[in-house]
Amino acid sequence: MTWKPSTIAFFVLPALAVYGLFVIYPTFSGLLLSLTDSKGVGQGQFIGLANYARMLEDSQVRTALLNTVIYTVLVTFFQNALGLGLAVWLGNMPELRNSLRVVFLLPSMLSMLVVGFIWSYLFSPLGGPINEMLQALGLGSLKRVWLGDPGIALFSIVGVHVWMYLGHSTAIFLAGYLGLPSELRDSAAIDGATGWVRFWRVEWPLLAPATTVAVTLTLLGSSKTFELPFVLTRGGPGDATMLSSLTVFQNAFAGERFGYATAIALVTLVGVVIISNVVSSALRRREQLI
Amino acid sequence: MKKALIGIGFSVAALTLALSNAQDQTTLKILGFKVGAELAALPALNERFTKETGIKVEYEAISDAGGFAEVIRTRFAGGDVPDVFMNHGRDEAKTFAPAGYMADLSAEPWVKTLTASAASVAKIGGKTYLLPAEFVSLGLYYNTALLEKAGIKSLPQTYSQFLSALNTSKTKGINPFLVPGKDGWAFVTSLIMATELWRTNPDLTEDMLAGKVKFDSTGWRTVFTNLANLGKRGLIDTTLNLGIDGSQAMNEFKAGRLAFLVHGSWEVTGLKKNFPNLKFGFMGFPSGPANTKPVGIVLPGVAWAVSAKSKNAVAARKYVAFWAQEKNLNDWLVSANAFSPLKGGVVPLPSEMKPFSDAAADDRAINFPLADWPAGFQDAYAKATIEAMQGKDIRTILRGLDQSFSKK
Repeated sequence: MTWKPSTIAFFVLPALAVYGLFVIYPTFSGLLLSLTDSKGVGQGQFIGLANYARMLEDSQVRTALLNTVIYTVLVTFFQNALGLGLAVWLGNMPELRNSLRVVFLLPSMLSMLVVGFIWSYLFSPLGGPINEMLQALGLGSLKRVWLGDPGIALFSIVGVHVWMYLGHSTAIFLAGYLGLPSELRDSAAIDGATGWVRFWRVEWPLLAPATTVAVTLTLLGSSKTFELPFVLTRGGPGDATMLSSLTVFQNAFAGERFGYATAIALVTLVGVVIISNVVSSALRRREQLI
Repeated sequence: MKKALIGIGFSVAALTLALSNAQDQTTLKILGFKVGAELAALPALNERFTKETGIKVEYEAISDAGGFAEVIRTRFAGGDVPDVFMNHGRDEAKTFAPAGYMADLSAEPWVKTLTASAASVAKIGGKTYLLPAEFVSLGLYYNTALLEKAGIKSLPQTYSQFLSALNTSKTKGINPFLVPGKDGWAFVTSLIMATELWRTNPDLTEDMLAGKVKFDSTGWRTVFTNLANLGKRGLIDTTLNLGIDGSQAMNEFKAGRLAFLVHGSWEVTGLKKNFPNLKFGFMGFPSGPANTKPVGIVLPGVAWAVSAKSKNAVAARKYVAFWAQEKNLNDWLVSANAFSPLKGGVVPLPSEMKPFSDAAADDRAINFPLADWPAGFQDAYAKATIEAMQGKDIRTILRGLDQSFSKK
């Protein structure tokens, strides 16, 4: 069936209009805003590329971008590695699978802000449950100021993020795992491949499509994280947990530098788009090798 | 049948009349940052306003932690303006008034009743945009029972006495002091430690704005060194303090486990009501050398403003004027333990605040300097206090502050 151009346009235009209104227009509007000294109220003056030049000298922005990369890499790795491990375990435990799948998904159903406040209480160095539990277990030497020590604060937040979204990765990998052809597993077993060898040589390569989805979603989700560090540390101590999203927020609202904040947001956006495309392309190439 | 029809007719007529009355009644939309227990006398005052004027009030509360500053900015930018809104002193007004978002209240009769300091808070560019509804205070809470237990007979008056009290408390196994670094309380603590600078030079803020006094100067070096030394001398656990916020520190004080804490006077009512066994007081901070007395900080708290684009401008102005009446304002001030912005306004304060009110009466209270520092500088200053607590080089920190101050 061949459709007339007008028919195609009839179906495509509404979606294009919505996309243009909510994605294209704000992006270009943001680009223009980033070329001004806007304070967020009233009209800003055009200042060319001054905001972008300022970013090069701003150590906080450099730290925030580096922290964002570290945060994204750690969350993407641990969330998917643990999610994969749990999926394989659940895949071989049919009697527990359905109930535990829901249990692992529960944290992601909570609001990120709520999760932040809950963990702020759990992490408290003043009688917080985590330190008290360590003490009760005779592991008092492991007690830490989880959010106040610059050396571990970022990792504490990574831990919360992974805890919250572990169920997502698990669900994606589990769906892929349960969809693997059983005859391939049987064939591998007949050939003597069991346990780790079977997983590494047969199952893991076949999970490539699930890996692409899980890694890409985690990458995009973690690179724009804002709520957790906002509630747990506000970017501190110092800039130890400052992420680019927090820098954008602080510059826009506390610093009244909307133009500058928009420039940081756009640079972050470009970085995320490039990295996610590179990773996604690499993962898709891997899929084609199956 | 006839009776039933008449009955229905009357019912419809009554309903129509009620609806039409409801539509005629003006409803003011008010946006504020006071929530929960902080609302104090606000709901009762709103009810009284409605009773007196027939104007309904819809108060929407968005806490500071919930993003009041961001929400109100976004609403103004989007044209969804409240009729009346709260300001943190003049923080919002400094941006909103020049942008044309706030109504000029200069001609309102209550303007003449404001004290000089309240009038200066209310003015932006020579016009009055605000009704400052209170002056709150920042000072030093002390736990009387713990000080007695430590054998501390009198309240510290100087910084060396304060350090001595911290040392004594610590040796008796009492947590002496907290400087919570996760939110703004570390920089408030550093500012109150700096009150000695304003005591010796009341024009310090103006001198700094004019570039005559720099952060990289003897006075500020002493303040930041004193802050850093609290950790170095083991009087506070720096890492622990960087991991807690002001409310967590206040919870320690409420639990009776902390000797001293810098915080705001608005906690006094809650402490008295909810922790009747807690014996405490609220005083200025002993920041000076020998033969000086503690100095406190006062700052404009709630201030009311009217949106320039309010559709109920007359009613909105009536609401602000209602707050400016002494009998109404005093109810609020008593519930918030705050000082009056009105000429001759005297508000009874709890006995726990006597050391502070004595300091204020003795002219030993400075205005909160951040209100006059450049917009956006607060973040740089807050970061500097954390860096000092972390042990970074003080002069490098202060030179960085000078750069940030001049750039704003």
